[in-house]
Amino acid sequence: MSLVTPVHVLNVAQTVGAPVHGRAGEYIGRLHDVVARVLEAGDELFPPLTGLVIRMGGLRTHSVFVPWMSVREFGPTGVTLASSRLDLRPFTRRDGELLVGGDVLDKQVVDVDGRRVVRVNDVQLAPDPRVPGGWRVAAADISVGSFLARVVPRWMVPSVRNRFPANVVISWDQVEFFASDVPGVKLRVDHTNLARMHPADLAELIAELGYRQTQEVLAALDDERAADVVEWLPSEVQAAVLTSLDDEKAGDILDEMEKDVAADILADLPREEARDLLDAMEPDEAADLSRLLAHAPNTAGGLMSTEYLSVGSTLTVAETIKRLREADWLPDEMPYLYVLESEPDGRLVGTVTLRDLVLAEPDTRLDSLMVREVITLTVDMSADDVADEFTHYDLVAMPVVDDDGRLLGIVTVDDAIDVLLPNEWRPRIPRIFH
Amino acid sequence: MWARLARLGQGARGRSRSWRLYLTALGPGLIAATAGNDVGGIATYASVGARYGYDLIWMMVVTAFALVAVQEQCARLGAVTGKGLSDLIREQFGPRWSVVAMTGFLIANGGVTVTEFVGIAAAADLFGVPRFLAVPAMAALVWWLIVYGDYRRVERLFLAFALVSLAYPISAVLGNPDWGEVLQHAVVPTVRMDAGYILLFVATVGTTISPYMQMYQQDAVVEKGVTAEDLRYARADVLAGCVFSILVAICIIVATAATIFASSPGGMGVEIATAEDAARALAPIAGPYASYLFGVGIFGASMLAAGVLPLATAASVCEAFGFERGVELTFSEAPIFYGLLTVLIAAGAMIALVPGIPVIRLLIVVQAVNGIILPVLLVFITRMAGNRQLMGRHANGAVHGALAWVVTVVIGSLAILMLVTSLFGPWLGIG
Repeated sequence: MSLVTPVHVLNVAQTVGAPVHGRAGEYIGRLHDVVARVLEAGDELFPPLTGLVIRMGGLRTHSVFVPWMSVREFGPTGVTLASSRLDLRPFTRRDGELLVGGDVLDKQVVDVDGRRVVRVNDVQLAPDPRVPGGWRVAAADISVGSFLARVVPRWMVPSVRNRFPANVVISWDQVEFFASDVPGVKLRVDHTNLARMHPADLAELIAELGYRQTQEVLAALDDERAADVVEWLPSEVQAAVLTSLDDEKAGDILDEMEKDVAADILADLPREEARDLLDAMEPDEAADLSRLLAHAPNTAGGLMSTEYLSVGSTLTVAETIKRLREADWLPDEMPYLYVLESEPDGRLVGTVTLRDLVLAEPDTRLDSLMVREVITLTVDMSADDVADEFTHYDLVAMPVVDDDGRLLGIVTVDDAIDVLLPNEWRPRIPRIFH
Repeated sequence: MWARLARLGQGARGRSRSWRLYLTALGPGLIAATAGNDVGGIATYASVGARYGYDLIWMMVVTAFALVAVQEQCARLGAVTGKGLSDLIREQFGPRWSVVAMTGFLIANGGVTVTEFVGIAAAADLFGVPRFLAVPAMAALVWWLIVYGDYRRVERLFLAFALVSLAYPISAVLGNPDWGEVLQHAVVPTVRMDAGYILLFVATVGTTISPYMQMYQQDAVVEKGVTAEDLRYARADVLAGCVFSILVAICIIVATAATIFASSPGGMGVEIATAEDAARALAPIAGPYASYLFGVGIFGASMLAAGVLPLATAASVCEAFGFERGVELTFSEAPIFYGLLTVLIAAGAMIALVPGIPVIRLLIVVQAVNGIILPVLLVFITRMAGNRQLMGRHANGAVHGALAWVVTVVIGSLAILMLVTSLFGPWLGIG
């Protein structure tokens, strides 16, 4: 939490409601809100104030906009305008404008540095060092004192401030607010800060957000990143998050997810919803997934993933490595290469570890390098038995084969371990393969 | 928000697909509405039946419409905004009003928490276990389960116990009531102007539409990822839940009316004072074991709510005010959350143990307090549900808005009427 303490700062919540006077000192109205321009990415991290919204009139109030160049003095006790002439057209919002009081105050924002969702109790404004007389949004104030100061009557504010100083503020460059909280206008919020966070941290944040903000966050990430985040979500939340997205985005994310995790999520959904999501996926990814879905969830077939690499037994080490280099897709982790009697779908005859592959002479054929004694699983083996096999042989992945010995998929140890653990432990166990 | 209720232990999701399908389609609304039939609900409905026979059944029919109107608004708020109730009140009304609303929730839910421990004490009495042993032990167990244990798992056990309330419809039928009379009283209002009648009236509204149901309804809709597009499923769920809950409530009234009221001297009706009395309504189904059946039922319902309520309340208050919350945090990370949780449980248990406390009376007064706080919260809910900027095309229309305001104003007037009659009744000659 980097602390911003400029020479003097203004709190939006304490300033809103202050009287606004004209040049001659005549009363005009009260400050209703502060408008800031949300800039394009890469420009300024602290949005400059572009003007004030002033509420005028007695019974039939209306709000007008005063551009910053017409503001002479801006302070905690009030606002003085540089001219007494006002544009009396009612205030309407424009794209790219942030109403600091209305859009940020009391809302939940992400504290990027602290990796948590916080509620904004006040917003600090500070003079803009680059523009004489200009002000900008400096920090979000989340301290308890700032909350209390807004609850108690005005005369008690100083004593509350004394006892509870505004001691927790988040520099605005570490704040990510949500455009979905701002009704009616378009705001370009690209969430570059969020995109840089670790998917595990993002998943924890998302667990605290509503679906609109979740949609916003996932939309700001590329599909692969979004898929990582969804994989990190607790399993009971994954399905809810995916169904709340539009089918197209959900399909794109499912395309990028580990197939076994994706299959688990779809298996948890009502049949119709699962079919809609499958339809939204790339046809070949969807076909892979449908094959996995055909297996009961508590069998080896239900646990297995189709993300593995298989090669023909007649290839040499050099040919194999060349193929790995040129492949347009590889699994994230590949403890073993699976060696088939013949490509593309011959019997599984052995495995080769990457270690052996790297150390062997380039012209060695795989069938002389591979380990022939492969311990395999069958599709309909129960999940408990699968877990037993893993603990017995202490392996990181095991192949699943059909009756003829043809390779169907692999089960990785993290998926097998899930079976052994009570539900609540799972999120705390780091995924070994992701 | 996604993980909130899952963490709270309310997002009970089973492994089989059909169960989950059911939870998606019929879920939060059903659970929220059924929660109205907890120990306070049973005591209130039983008192209504024992004291006034079928006279107040018409009111349940009217209440059903109000319940649907209120719960539907909460489901809609959750589905459209993706935010929980306390969250949304803070964002829409600012700190001062959110303090008002959260104080309301704290009092209402704190009161209901007391009744849950009263329920545990009553169940202990029925089984002959000293309440001074049972209540502190159960309070400690609930606290331990929430903080260190796995509440989600035991929760299902308590939920199964609580299904005993389904014995009331059977008991109502076996009690052989005059169904013609029941039907007549369901459509023809009988109004009396005495303080007891009005108190029970408000208490019934307060327990049937209790504030924590709105909180639960909205939060659960949000947690399940229900969006504006799924709104019609959420509505069907709300409707099913409300109808089911009201039917069970009516059955409790009919069962007590057919047994306790019918056998009261001169058919004048009696006040029920103890759990033993209330248990008699289950005699047609359980005979001499009625009090045991009753005991199991209120024990389950009370244990369930004694954990869920303080947890949900503490989380909700902390969410509105921006304090750290959640049982996965440590005590020093979330001191206010754990403090609130602990105080709610400890205070609830201690108040329930005050010697000589009039049990049924206490239960009803708490429901009446709920009935007073309810209209205040309804103002927040109805204003938000009608806010076009927040809700877009899903905002209350003219008819829906008018209906919601009528419900709010009527319940508010009733609450004021009750306050006036209970405080000044003797002077006005209607005590």
